[in-house]
Amino acid sequence: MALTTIGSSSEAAVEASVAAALSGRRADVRGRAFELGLLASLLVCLILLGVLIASVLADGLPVYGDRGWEFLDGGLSRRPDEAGISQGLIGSMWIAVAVVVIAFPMGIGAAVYLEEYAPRNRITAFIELNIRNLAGVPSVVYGLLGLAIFVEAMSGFAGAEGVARRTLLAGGVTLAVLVLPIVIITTAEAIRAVPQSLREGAFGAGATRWEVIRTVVLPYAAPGIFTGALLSIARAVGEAAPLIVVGAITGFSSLGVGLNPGNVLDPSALPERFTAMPAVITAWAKLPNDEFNRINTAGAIIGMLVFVVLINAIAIVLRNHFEKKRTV
Amino acid sequence: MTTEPTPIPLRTAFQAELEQLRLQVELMGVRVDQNLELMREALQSGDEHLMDQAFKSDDEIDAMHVSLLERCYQLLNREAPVASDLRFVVSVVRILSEFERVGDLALRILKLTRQVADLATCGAPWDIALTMVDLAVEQYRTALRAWSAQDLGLASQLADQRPPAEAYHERLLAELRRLRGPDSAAMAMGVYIIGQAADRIADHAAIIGARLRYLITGEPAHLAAEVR
Amino acid sequence: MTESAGPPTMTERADTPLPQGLEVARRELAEHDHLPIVFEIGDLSAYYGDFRAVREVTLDVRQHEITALIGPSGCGKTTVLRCLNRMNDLIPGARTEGTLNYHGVPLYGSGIDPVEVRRRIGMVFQKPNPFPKSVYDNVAYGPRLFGIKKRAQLDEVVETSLHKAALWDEVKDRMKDSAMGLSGGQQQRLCIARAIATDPEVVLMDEPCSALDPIATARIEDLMQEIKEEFTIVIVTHNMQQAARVSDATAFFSTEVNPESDRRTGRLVEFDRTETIFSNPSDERTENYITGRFG
Repeated sequence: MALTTIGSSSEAAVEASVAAALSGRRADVRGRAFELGLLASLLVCLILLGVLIASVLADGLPVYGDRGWEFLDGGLSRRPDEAGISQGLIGSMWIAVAVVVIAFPMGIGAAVYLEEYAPRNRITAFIELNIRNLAGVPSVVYGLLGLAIFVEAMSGFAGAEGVARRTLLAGGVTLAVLVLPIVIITTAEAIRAVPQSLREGAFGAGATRWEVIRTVVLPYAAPGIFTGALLSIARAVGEAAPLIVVGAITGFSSLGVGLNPGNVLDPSALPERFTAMPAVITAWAKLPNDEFNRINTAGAIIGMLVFVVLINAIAIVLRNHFEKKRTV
Repeated sequence: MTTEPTPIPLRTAFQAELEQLRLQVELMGVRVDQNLELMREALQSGDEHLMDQAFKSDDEIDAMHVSLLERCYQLLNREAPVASDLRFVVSVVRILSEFERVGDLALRILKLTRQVADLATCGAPWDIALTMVDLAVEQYRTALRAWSAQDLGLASQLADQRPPAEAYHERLLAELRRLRGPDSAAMAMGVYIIGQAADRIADHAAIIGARLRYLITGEPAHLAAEVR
Repeated sequence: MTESAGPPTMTERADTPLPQGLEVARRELAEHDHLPIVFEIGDLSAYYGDFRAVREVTLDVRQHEITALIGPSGCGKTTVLRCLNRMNDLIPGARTEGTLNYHGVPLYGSGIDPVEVRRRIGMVFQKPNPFPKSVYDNVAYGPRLFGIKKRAQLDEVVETSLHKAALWDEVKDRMKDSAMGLSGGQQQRLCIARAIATDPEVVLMDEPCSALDPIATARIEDLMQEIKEEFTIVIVTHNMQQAARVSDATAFFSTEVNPESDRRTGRLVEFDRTETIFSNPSDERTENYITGRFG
């Protein structure tokens, strides 16, 4: 009996000391402080965004409440209660189309070449460095480039002269070129993330390099490429400075008013003068009239945000579709 | 100019166990040798106490045999030896049984200790039998030395040479046939048993040499020579 | 068909006449001499840029046999394997010197198309790498690339390959499911099915079982024995018991250190029938490696 008591008491002693050692008295003060600091920064961001959106909604929703469809369907006007954003929306739509048609194929193609075909040497490293730098160039510079080259080119292309050369086509191409580096970089990153084991499996099965890219690399990289697409369209649709330099109309225009299918999808808008949402917002925000610079601007901002969200939604749906195919 | 990277010894526990096994096998062989020595003394003196001593020692030898066999099984199971290590373990199993049989043969001779006084009177056959015993023990001791040193030369010598004891076998038979007298049959049987046992001891020593040779060289011809 | 000058074979070493049983065994071992040689490798060296990864490789791979390449890490066995189907072309700066003939044709000769080479010499990798597609699409990948478009034909090829890879019963109701949902062992068998779907002559395997559990490993070893009647297999393995169990011929590679650059080069030490390598190898280094005595 005595032996078992001795045994159990020493066991209990061991237990107690182990419990004390494991539970630890030292509170991780610095860790907690760091965690709280990070939380605080997140909250600040959320609050700022919240305040922004709340104030826009507060100012802008009444516009839709009062005028509703008329705001969307109307065109640029000097009268605040007649001004609408249909031309801006159509212009932004065509710019998005230009990005998809021009920047995506070229950008994705360039990225595929750089990652899959080009040898790794100083020249290609230099090219990649330059592309990265181009992504950081201020957008107004692209506007100037657009003015100098694409607007000029419209005289040969559409036979237009003077101010009439500042067409939607020129604007669209300018913005497509602006986002081209982003498309290249994000596509290249997505391709680089494809596991080498997949490529080897495809080569091992007797595929040529192009077949490997087409059947294995691109499908696997698709989610990443769509994310890049998302980013680039959002950027292109949101940039104001290049639009203004290239000559988007900000005052008054009767061209292409109306948010009906016949007008929206009318390609004859391309070789004409144009406007787009960022330009409209910028213009209205600078007008002295309070109805313009606060209420209508907010309404326009809401319109543009919805437009961008819709495009993003499409891209996200496509990305998730490809991402599902990649895993179980 | 390239060099081999310096090799790091691995599986040191396993190597140590193999060495331990070798020494234990040698120890068993030495125990059997002790019994052979007792046997020779008994043939000279006829002392029955030597017989009892030898039998007790034999029990210990048997126990050792069993434990070493168990260890061999364990090594095969746990370590999955290959090449020379595998040959070593399997050869140990086979050589242990050779030692065991030599021990049994020594006991068979020792069982005749009581009759030594009588048998010694038959003259020529007795001398021949004793000579055969001496040669056999000598042969056995060579085998033990070969195992201790893992000596290929001694092993080949043992395996290839005709045991000298064989030559005496014919002469023994001839002398035994010439025995006359009332107890000649019994005496002849006793002496013959001794001679036969000695012959077999020599034979087992030669087999030990053959098995040791295959262990060392691993050549298929030497494996064939083990199984004669 | 040239005989390679390797270490002396068992037939040359035994001088004394052998008893009956061993004569039979010796005859069976010598039968391999009649099998045609698929790869003839002579004094092959493989380089990555200036660095020589492996040198002086001389061995023959015979048809319908399993040839194993064993050795410690960094000895060049995977490099040699990847030379056999020109996978090393994917690594910039990789090149070979010496003889590497496939049915007498130099594999690195001018005008040889690596894609055609890989069609005839398939490969299974260390970590199972099925495509993130359906089971069906994985196996049909190769045949589709080579122009088989008709559904009925593809179905047949896929089913045959899955049967040969001992996977059919487990996936026949899941052909449209993603291959990523299979277990590790199943994925590796799927990769084997994918490799044999193009009806190659040779299947190269780079440590195919090292990422698998013992049961999956045993299934693939059984599979290798079954398909060896139709294909020729070359396998790189770290598992010596596996090489001893499964292969007919074994090549042992080792490393050398260059004292100036302190870099390790691989080299072939011994190439012989598996029974000989694992029971009585000629070279002490081989014996040290297989007994695990020295590392």
